[in-house]
Amino acid sequence: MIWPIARKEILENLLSYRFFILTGLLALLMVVAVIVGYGDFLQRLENYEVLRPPPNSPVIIIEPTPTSILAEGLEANLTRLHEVSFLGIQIQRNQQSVNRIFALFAVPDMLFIIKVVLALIAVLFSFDAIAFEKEQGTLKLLLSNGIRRHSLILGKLFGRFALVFAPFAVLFLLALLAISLLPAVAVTGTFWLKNFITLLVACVYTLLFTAIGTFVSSMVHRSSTSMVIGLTFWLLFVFIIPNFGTLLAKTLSGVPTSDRIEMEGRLSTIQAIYERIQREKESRDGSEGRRMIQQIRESTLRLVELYQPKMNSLTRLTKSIVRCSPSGAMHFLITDVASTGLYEEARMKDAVVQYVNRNFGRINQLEQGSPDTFLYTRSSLSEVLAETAFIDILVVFFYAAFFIGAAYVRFLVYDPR
Amino acid sequence: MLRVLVRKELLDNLLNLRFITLCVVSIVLIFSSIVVLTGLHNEDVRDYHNRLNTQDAFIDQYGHSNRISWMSSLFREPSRYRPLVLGIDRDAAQENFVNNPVPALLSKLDLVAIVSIIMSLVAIVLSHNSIAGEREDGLLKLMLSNPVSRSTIVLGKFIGGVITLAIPFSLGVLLGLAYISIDAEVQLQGTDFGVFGLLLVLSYIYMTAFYGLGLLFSARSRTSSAAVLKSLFAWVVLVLVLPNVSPFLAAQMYSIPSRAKIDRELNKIESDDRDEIFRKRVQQLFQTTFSDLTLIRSMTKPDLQKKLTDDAAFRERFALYQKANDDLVREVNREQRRIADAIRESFHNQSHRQEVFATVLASLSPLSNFVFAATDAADVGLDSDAEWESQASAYHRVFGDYVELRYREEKHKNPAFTSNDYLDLRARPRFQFQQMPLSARIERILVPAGILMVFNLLFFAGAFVSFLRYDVR
Repeated sequence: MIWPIARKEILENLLSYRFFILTGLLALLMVVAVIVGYGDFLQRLENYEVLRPPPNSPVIIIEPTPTSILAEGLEANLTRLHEVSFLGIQIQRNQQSVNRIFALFAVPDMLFIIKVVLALIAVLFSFDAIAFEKEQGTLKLLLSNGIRRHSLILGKLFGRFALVFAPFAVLFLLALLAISLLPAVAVTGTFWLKNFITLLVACVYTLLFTAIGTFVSSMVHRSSTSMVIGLTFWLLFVFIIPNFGTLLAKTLSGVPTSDRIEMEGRLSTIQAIYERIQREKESRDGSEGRRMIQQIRESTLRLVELYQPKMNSLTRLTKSIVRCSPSGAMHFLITDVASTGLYEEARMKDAVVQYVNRNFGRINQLEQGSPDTFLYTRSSLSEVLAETAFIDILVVFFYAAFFIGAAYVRFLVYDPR
Repeated sequence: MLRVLVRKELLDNLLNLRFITLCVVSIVLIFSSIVVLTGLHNEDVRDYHNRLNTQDAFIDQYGHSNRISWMSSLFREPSRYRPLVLGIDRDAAQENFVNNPVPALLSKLDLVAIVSIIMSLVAIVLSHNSIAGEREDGLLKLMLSNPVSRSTIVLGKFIGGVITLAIPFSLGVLLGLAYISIDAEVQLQGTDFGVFGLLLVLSYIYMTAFYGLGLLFSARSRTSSAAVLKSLFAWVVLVLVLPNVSPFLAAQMYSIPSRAKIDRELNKIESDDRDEIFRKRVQQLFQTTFSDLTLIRSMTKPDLQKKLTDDAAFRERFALYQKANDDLVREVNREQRRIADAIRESFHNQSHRQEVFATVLASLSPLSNFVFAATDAADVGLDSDAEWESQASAYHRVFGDYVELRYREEKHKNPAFTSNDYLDLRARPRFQFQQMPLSARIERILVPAGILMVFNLLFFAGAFVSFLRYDVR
């Protein structure tokens, strides 16, 4: 009995205005997302080509990944140029974009479309599922026809979900196809697999927000009220919790800001140089240079090694708090899967620190030989899933199940009069 | 009559659950954003002072003219309006290796973002059913059967709706401002209230434009669900599409070389090319003026030392050569810097032109105008950024000249003084960023604010005309 109801819902809405407008809207946004994402990607690629160091030089820059076109995440940070010298690790100022206007607006990449717009559309498609039929009086009619309540609510839920998700999925696949045909993008099997997972997550996420809309709709008796409450949930999950979680984590953890560490490092470096100069006035046997470099190494690199775990624990705490919102969890999940997330960032930093520790002597002529070439491959999908993403998947699934259950239970006791 | 209608709209809205939810949500959202950003701002300010003091103490204690650039970076004081307007967010910490990546991942939500994205959506949600919805309920027929003119009805709806929208927003902002003013670390001044007032006025104008947009589509639709979709579509185009596409279009139509390429070229001119030219000139020097000294190029250091102590005429000649060599270094440096500065200047001009082009394209959207005006009002916008860059580079020149002057003074006093010796720089000129005065800022925001007003008028006039021709049955 669920299927006829879902079919009725789909047919009713398929021919409506709403369906065409929302599909057109998604299409428009996706075109913008692909254009802007590809433009950014090209710029990073060009940067990489220009700055790429010859082998065996202590310069670190990693290649941009095409998955960043869909979920930019921390890609701008990841693809910066790191230079290693006796001063430690120095990051060249962000070369991302000449055009400062980009800094003023939020760039709508595919992740933004899923997290913000798709969720909004799902709520807008479902807020009137029950309350509107009641206002029209058709709910009474429906229930008098021998339709079981549970099939009615599930039919409505899945019918409306399909209406939102089907056009999104088609457009998403088209966007992927378009990206794979772009000249600068070398598409591999992992690219498709990663984006397939993104699509799957988007599916559950859409279902979740459809369930929220349906749940709210079966809570109240007027569709305009249910719309506002549905939008409140949307605001809470998409904006308020992630925004507040960041500060809460920072306050709770009490980790000092990275600036202090950086300043301390710089201070001890210049101090070491100065002391060397003073001492060299007295003796000049060439040992002072080595001593200075050792001194700098101990002070600056140790700071990094001491501080990085603290920063990692802050990141973990922020993650746990922001995961109270399914949108936050989904944000982590999709950026991690696209290799542009927090996991990748921490992993890359670890790799840089290890590289510096291994090669510090050779970079600064304390030891014989030339430094290694920095080699880095981004995390594999299975690694990401096993290390961090499974929690986010669980969170999104849990919320989806919770709201579907809530909508179901609410509707069983709904007063259709 | 108008007053009665405005009152009806207000009461209609104020007494229902929808309004109460809206109120709670916008207050929570705005207040929480201000609290979060004030916390982050205070941290930034502490970091800024820490950085500044550390560096100052450093120069005082360890200044030497070699490597002075390592310890004389300029830091921009975090703008005092950051709890409300982040603007062009120059997060100094993002350039450190150990940094907190979370803020870069989850973008921060300031008042400008809340107003431009969320409150505009709320405005549409509030207005979408005010005409089409009342037609569906049959209320419109009833209302028009009374002796009320259509223009009064639409005006009443507009005014009543805008007030309903303004109440929760103002409450949220006022609560936030109260929080800021009791925060011990933020000290407010008279001009700050002027800026807050400007921001509020700009927000009202912007939200009103979107209320008008919702009303326009409501008056052009038969059902409220069609109305909300049409306005949502317009919202996506105006808020998400146009502003983001414009910088990209500008870059396509007016392309400039990438920053990395320019940096590489400059580096080549100022170091590799410079060394090459210098080598050649030294060669020339040995072939002409100092042809008698050619042999020193093949001498070992101890031999040279020996000859210098033994031969007084040679010593004099060698000193002359050293002076010529020093002059040469300075001359070549100057020449190469001139070439590099020309390239820098032309790149700067090109990117400025591209930016102006993008700004003009973006002005097609109310959001861009609002963002430009709000960031300019708080002096954290594009112009202020350019101003900072120019003042900073001017200071770098002054500071560089001062260091050189001090170095020469010391050298004069003590010929053995080297660039690695302690140089007393305590009397150095200090950097103070001159912010644009409030009146000048107001002048600058007149254009974007004017365009916003035009949007307002257009949308309202559209709604007005559409309603006059609306079929109420």
